Amino acid sequence: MLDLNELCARTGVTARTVRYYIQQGLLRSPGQTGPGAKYDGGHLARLLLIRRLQQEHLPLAEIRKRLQALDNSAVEQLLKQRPARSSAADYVRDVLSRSGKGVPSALAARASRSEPAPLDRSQWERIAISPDVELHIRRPLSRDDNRRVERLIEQARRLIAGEPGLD
Amino acid sequence: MVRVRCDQRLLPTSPATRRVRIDLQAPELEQTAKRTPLCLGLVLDRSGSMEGDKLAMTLQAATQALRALRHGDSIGVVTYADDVKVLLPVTAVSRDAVERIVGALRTLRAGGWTDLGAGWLSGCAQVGEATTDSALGRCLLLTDGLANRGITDADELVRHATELRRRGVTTSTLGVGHDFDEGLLRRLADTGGGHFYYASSAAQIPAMVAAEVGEALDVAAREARVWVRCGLKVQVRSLNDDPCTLEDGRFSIQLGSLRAGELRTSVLELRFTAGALDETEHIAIALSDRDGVLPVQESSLSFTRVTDAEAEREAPDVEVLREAARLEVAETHVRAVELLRAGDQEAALACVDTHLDRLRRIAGDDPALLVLMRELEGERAGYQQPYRSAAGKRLHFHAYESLKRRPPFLPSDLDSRTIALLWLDPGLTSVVVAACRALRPQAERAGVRLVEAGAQHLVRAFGPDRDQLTRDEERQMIELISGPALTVAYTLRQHHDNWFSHWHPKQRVAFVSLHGWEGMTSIQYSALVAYEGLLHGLRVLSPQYDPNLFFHRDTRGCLFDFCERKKEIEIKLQAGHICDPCCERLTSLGFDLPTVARAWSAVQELAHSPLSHQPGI
Repeated sequence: MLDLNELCARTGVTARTVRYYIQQGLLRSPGQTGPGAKYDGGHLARLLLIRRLQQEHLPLAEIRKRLQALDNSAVEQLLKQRPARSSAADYVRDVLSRSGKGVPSALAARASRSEPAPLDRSQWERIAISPDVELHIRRPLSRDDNRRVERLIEQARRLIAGEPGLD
Repeated sequence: MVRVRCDQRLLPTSPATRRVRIDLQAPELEQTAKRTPLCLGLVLDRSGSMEGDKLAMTLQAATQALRALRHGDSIGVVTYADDVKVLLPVTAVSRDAVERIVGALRTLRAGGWTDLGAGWLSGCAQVGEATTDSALGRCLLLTDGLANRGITDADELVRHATELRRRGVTTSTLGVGHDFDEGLLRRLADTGGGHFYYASSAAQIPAMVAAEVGEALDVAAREARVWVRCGLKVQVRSLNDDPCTLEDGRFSIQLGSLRAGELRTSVLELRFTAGALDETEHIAIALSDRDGVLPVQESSLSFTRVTDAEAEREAPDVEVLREAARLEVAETHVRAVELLRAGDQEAALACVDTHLDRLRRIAGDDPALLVLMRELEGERAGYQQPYRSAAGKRLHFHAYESLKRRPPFLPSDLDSRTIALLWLDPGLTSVVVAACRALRPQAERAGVRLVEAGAQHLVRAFGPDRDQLTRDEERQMIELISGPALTVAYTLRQHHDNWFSHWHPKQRVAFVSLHGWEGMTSIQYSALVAYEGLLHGLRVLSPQYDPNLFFHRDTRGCLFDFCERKKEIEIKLQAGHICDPCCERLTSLGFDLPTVARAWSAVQELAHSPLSHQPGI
């Protein structure tokens, strides 16, 4: 259960706007009003969905209509879905290939990737050994690998700096 | 803050037009609130015609822009001629990245044709890939020429701008010199949700890029929109020439991004078809934006059908009428110049004449409307001559700025305890506004009113377009500008003696030239503006104060260090110090030292570029 401040912090919506949504019938009233008012997961989920639908520029009346038809689990489901429109990069690739134009190499490389899923993108970390030497690591690493990498970095730094290493 | 007004509430039964004026202000960014990070894609034209000064200034501008970005921002550079090269993929900003970009920029060479479409689209794709839900994705296209390779159809490019805006990548455009197509660049920026800039010479490029990047870094509300719900008998149009479309049964007007604290005025034209007596048309107006900072409550307006005579008798809201008329004149110029450039002089003149007729009908004896009418009558002559690039582009840009920016006119109730900062070149708008925001708190504390306005309407649109002002031209401008307030006026043009600023004691005007700062890679134009504003503004508080009596030749990093070279000014701006002797003198003249010191600190903050850790690079 969240109080009003927490609800606002979690959703990025101001208290005034939350009250307005309740008044307009988009959100259930929390029962008890005033500082003791508590909001549950259902409130949170609905508020997040309202925010997203607002960002898609739906009018409040339409949002209210849609929300009334949904129970809490349906709201959660909708929140998990991603919007359907193509990305800017895909749109451009489409346009340029249709116009018979070659796609600049930096874009072409990405074209071979499957549909973008931001969470699946690998995170490469660049660790400077010296101003001109870097080590690239793809996270996440296993615990053992992490330990080995730490030692590697320590050694490499010493080596480049001209200090006596452990070899 | 939102205020909605209309010109008249009564409608005749026959078809009629009404205007709705919406004044809104974006909230200030609270200290603790996270600012919107910027994902910036620079698209630079390196075709053969860019060789020399233009390319050099472009590189300076890009380097300066780079130094304004902060942790959390990212930047990429695409260059194009007949091929497109990704000079640098969009990279998160860091000292490291900055050095790599500066190095990459130095390798730029000009040559080839101009495949503007592919260059710009690639830049947008770069931004699209890298931007996040919380960032502002912005592509800035800089060109001096026409699209003469690849996709050249303007309508097609404009369609792409709309689609890209819908996918989170907005476009601003900057045209340099005589040849580019101002119609195309303006439309790309309009539908692209960004802003259009015109640099008449290479020297102006850095200031314009600084203005654009400064705005993009200061966004409080992305994708701001006005929504109008009305019956089928009403058609809605934006008089600011903002894109207006029907979506889900409502009219949606795109305002673009709003800066923190920005005051915006949007005027809508409502065309009503015929209706029956005593019928009421209900209009509901709402706002929205991607960051949820604009108020969501709807405002409603009702228009009642009455007899023609009754409708005629209703006294209109003059503020709404004047603003609408001002915008319509600006829009006329934008359209007419574009028509003239396309070779259709007849249509250009018809456009002006239609508007003149309308003004003559509605002006009555309203002084503001009469002034607008007379100005337009005077400017009509320009359209009877063939299109002259420099003059035409200048008029076009002035008119465009007029459409998009809040009315840049001075309030009429000024007195000697007011400091007015005026910009004479439209590209300086956001730079002067930023300087005023920085100085205002201390000005208020000292009981001084600080206002900013554009005085470009004083610069005759079809006049000379040299980069340098003669002594006579300066004198004429000073006469037009001077008023009861202490005035500091800023121009991008060069003074006749190439000095920074001239003080005219009789008219109490300081005339500052921001020309020639392009070589300084870490200078912030808003800091320069604020510095001169402070230096001369102090005159308001003490009649004995004169900066010349304070200036000292030895360098102390003090506000009153005498600087002969721009480099020295840059150093003192970043030092932000006032030396002890000067402090004593200020106190002896009755100044409140903490207030002056805080104002000077505010200037220093503007000057301080987070990425240049070494002073005087």
